[in-house]
Amino acid sequence: MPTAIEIYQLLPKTNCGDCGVPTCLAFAMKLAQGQASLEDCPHVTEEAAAALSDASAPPMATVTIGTGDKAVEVGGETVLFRHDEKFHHPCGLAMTLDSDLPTEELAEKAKQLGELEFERVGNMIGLDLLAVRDAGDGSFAEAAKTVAEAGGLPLALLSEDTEAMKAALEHVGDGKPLIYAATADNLDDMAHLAKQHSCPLAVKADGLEALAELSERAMDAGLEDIVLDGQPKTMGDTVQQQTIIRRAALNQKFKPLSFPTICFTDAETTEMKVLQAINCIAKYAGIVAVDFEDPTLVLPLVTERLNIYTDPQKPPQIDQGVYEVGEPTEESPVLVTTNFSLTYFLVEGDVSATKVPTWIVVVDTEGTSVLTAWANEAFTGEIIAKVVNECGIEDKVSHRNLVLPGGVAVLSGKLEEESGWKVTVGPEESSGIPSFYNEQGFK
Amino acid sequence: MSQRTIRFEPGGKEVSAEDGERLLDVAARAEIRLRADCGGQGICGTCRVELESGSVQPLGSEEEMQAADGGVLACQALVASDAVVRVPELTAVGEIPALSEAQLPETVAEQFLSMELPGPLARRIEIEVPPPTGTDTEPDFERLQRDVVRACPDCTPLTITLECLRELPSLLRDGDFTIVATAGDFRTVEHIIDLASPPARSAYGLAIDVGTSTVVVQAVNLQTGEGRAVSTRNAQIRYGDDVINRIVWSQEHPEGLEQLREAILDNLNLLLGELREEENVEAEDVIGASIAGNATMVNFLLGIDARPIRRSPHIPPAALPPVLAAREVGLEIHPEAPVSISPAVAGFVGGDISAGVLATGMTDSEDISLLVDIGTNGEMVLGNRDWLTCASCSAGPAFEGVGIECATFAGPGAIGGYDYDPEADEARLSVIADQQPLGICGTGLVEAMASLSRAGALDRGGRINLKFSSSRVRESAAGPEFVLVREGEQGAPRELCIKQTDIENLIRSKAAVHAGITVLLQQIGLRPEDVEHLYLAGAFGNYLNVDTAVAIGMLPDLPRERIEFVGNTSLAGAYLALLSREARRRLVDIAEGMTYLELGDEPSFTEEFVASMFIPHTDIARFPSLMAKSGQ
Amino acid sequence: MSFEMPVENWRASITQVTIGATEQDGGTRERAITIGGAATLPFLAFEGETPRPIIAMEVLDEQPEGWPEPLVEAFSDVYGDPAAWAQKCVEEYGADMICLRLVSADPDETNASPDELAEHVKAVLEAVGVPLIIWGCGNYDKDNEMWPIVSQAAAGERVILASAEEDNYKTIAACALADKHVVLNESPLDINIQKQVSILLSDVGVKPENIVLYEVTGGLGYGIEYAFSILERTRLAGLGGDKMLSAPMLSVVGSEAWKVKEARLPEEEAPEWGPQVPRSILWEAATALTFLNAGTDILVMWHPEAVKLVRQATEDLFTSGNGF
Repeated sequence: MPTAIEIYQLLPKTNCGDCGVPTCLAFAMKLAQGQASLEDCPHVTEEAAAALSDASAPPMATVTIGTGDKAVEVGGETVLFRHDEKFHHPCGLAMTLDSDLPTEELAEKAKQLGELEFERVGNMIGLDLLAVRDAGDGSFAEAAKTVAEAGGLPLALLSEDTEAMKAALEHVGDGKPLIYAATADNLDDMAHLAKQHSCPLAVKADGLEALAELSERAMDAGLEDIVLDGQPKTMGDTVQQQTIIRRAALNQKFKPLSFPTICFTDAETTEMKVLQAINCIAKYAGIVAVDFEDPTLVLPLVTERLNIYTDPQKPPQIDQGVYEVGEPTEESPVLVTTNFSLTYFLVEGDVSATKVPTWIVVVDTEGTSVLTAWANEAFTGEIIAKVVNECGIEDKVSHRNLVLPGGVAVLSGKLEEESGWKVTVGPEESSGIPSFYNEQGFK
Repeated sequence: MSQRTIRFEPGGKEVSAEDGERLLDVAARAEIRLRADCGGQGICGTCRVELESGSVQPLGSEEEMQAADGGVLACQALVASDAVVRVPELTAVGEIPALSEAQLPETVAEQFLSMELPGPLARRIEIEVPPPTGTDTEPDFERLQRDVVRACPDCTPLTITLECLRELPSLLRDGDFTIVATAGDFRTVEHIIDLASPPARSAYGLAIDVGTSTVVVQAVNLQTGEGRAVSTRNAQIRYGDDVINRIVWSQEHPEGLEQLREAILDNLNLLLGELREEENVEAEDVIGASIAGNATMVNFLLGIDARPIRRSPHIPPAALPPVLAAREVGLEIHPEAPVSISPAVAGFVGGDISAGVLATGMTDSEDISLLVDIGTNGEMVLGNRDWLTCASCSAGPAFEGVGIECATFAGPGAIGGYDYDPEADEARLSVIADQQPLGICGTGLVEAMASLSRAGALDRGGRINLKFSSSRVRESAAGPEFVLVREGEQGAPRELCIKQTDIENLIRSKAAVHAGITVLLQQIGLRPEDVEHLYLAGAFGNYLNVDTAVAIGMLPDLPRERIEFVGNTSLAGAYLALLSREARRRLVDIAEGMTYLELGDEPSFTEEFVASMFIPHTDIARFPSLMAKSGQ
Repeated sequence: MSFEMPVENWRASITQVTIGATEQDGGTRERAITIGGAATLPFLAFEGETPRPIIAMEVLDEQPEGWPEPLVEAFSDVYGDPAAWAQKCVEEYGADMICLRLVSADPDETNASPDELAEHVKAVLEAVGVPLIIWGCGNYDKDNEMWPIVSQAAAGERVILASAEEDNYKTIAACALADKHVVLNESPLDINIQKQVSILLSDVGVKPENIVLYEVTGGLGYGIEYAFSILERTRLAGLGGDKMLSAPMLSVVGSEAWKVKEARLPEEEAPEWGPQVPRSILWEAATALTFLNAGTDILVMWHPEAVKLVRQATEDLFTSGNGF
């Protein structure tokens, strides 16, 4: 991506403001950060547009599986390391179901998996896809239909049998399932099916060279939505393959590998399957399909994914509300702080070091630290009082004593007045919490 | 409340006061200026006075009121009876040099001031108007207008105050149709604000820089362009060290905004009084004022609620206020004199910065320049002829000595240069005006930090090394400290000691500046070495050594010849705007064309800030000249 | 279009640090362990040397409070006896190292004296032959009072003294220099502070081969992404030739993972999360595996089953199948 100043040189330099920002330079800075689109400038010349769009073309295809609200986008990644910018599309998590299960059981399972949801810091997270694996007994098309209807999630259809795939697509092809997979032997037919139904196609081959060849054939057949599987045999293979594919796409602009990937778990034990999936999520997988029995074990996977795909450029925040450290009682102290995650984690860490169970009331300050929030008028006596009075802490404790961060001691008067709580000024740095607790005799 | 009489010695000036008034404020009312380097917060001890008779009450505790060697701190003492107060020589404010007066690059001065008709903000001209005749029957005002306009064809339309219009017929006729007209440029229209009989008296204008910590007023003879400046601490400091705290004050006290306005107006009028006295100028002859200041200060001066600056997205209530009449603002000069205010770019990049850009001439060249203005806020502007971008960071007032006990204002007796020799365990000082060392100013603090770090008395994180082999290092209740100057050392009347927290504040300040520069460059896509001219303006005047500024990691490690100290560019820009119409126009272009970058929204700023909280920097590779020196 | 392997040329490899000293080198350990030496990112065998990670198991010098049931089950028989605890970890669970946490030093709790703490260290040194990490209680004053004696008690053993922080590094550095130990450089999730502490340590004479890096971590679901990125960045900086960040890295996994609700709560309290075993154990193992992928060299772990799983995963990570 060109720098702001390089982009600026290509813009009209009139500061007309028609793009919505006051100066051409400001617009260039937004473009450089990917926060604006060149189309926002009505006066850009064609040459400039050509030069810029070429430079900003995405290095890896984004592939959509499914349709409507539940459609999943994978790929489209632009960096090797999340700290370089962010990972754009959380990898798709799929659970695999075998087609030869009795229809009722299959429907029941698909329904259960489709509804599987866990709450994490205010986000409801669950599975994205259901994969139906062809048992080779003619049950595939019917099973696909059952799973699609009962699960309500986009599908991955796992079969190398082009006839079976064809039959399945007749039932579920409108839902844009992922066709898995084209091999060296069946590529032409599978590619034809993918085109016919406008579905993404996975190509699989043993090793990356063979995979690249196959992918190129799929591209030659006119496909754009391709998913890659180099069939790693070990976790070591997985990390290496995934890394090589990501580097080939981003650093080398090697088109045949510029697609998202799909990985499967094949370990003997459920525990190792979970770890295989964790490994894939941590290292670049576009889709991870697991096949263990216990759906609750999806929890570590969705959590890992949520964490790895968190945008590192956004100030990390937690939700406003009451948090518990240890098992606080109605006698336990009540602290107040902002919702900047790092601030909260520091306070939480220092509080738990005291081993004194504590309530922490977190105020939404848009992810800013205590002093910044105060400076910006997002952490004032009125605002804190409102949260304290409405968050429910009043029902949890029998006292009315609140500890305010020392850095904003000036707020204590206003806060007491507005909230009706007695305010004690705590330490300026959270590292002072243990000795503060000692002085206060908190136990 | 009882009325008391307070007499100040020497001089015997008497003034009445009410019980509970602060001595510092009473003295100000008596036009007796005391040093109060901390702005009257009871920190610095420089407002020490002796009570010859009568009694006072402490504002806080008795202890806080008592000065070290007898006497009381005027900022902590409240009137409780009639009293006679002696002001020791050290406390009285003598000559305070203005914080580095305007030094304009020649090219810039030439560009704006050498033209035949530079178009000052206000002008006083003697005009001979042809008397009306049978064929020339133009009325008086139009007749005058015609001649004034002839004298300045590209002037804005001319109008006149009613008072002047009333005086016009008689003045014209009494003076044989020769008249002295004073006209002020109100941007869209020029007003005749004063008429008089000849001869024309000298006319003056003011260039004013309103900083968060320091206020400078320069009186300029509008005929010659020559001027003299005086400066003082911003009296608003008593309501808060920085702009945020002052905005908070204005929000939380019903009279807060008015208090802030009065404080700064008192400052200005007091300085003005001093200048007028020295130069023997009547208020009526000061006919224009050009002001540059940060957006918060300017809004406070105008009595405008500044809270939009505090709240995201931090916009100024008004970026380009209209040209106002002095009586509206409250400046004690000609009541109708135009007061022109340099336009702001954003809430935290004020007209002082637009003025600074103007004064450096950086918009005249293709070369990429970086202007760094360091005060309580640090602002940086990057750009050239085609583009400008700017940012602001909160440097904190440490560089201006505010909040640091051993610090003082950069006046006589202030240590401006400091070098510690660990071999001899001696401090080498250079003291402004060669007086006895009373305190250390911002420049001295930075040099002290560099010097202690070199000597090993500080580790690279700026922590005082308690194992350092000198009795200057000691541990107090408030943490480790280092005695910069022992009592008696080079005639010092008291010990000067820098605390760990002072050093932390200084490091935070320099880190904010360096991080701001780094992020601004990154966002544009330039490297430090692309900067061809670095102009350092503000708190350090011309005293700071370039190597020191780099050695502590405040400025990027550029070839030293590219770094230039340019003094108070805000004042310099205000001066240009006072004298040149083109400069006033250009200021508006500069402010409008400048792209503001909100550092608070840049995730990399915090990271760069932490990386800069080290001497010189966590990434020493960015300071190749220092690496070469230390052999790393 | 032909495919070319995208190989990175890293400028440097990670410094090797030897923990533990055998009799030959002035200690009493049965063997020393050398960590570091990575010449590329984790598990990228195609590109360079990728050393195997080391698992240290954590031993507390007094009975822990409020531990969840699965941990109590594993260790309650050795509570209060750090020597027996350490022995169990090494003999039954195959710990590569022991991380002894001197929690009894805490002045607000047991407040064991420096001499008592030194006894705990000696007892563990005698009970096991693997190298040690010795961790203070985190109270600066107490740790600084304790280190000279505790460090001396392990003199010559090349233990890792944990930990030096930006505001408290001098005493521990001096002890490490005097008694020939390694120092753990701890920073609060900030790569710059991590580097600053390395510089400060080297300014007082600690050599690069005697420093291990530790970024305060977070468990899965609880800030692991910050640690993940900081570890990645640190490793990239080290491979990029930044000497002050090229030390091997340590991650504390056990205590961080088990702090998270998803690991801590029994099934009765969170039925929607399923049985606590294997959930909690997987939580610890998943946390460990994530750190391994970011470049960690030493894992400090708690549950023996999690240790076993991580070993198994590591084995697979170092096995080449079809390659690429």
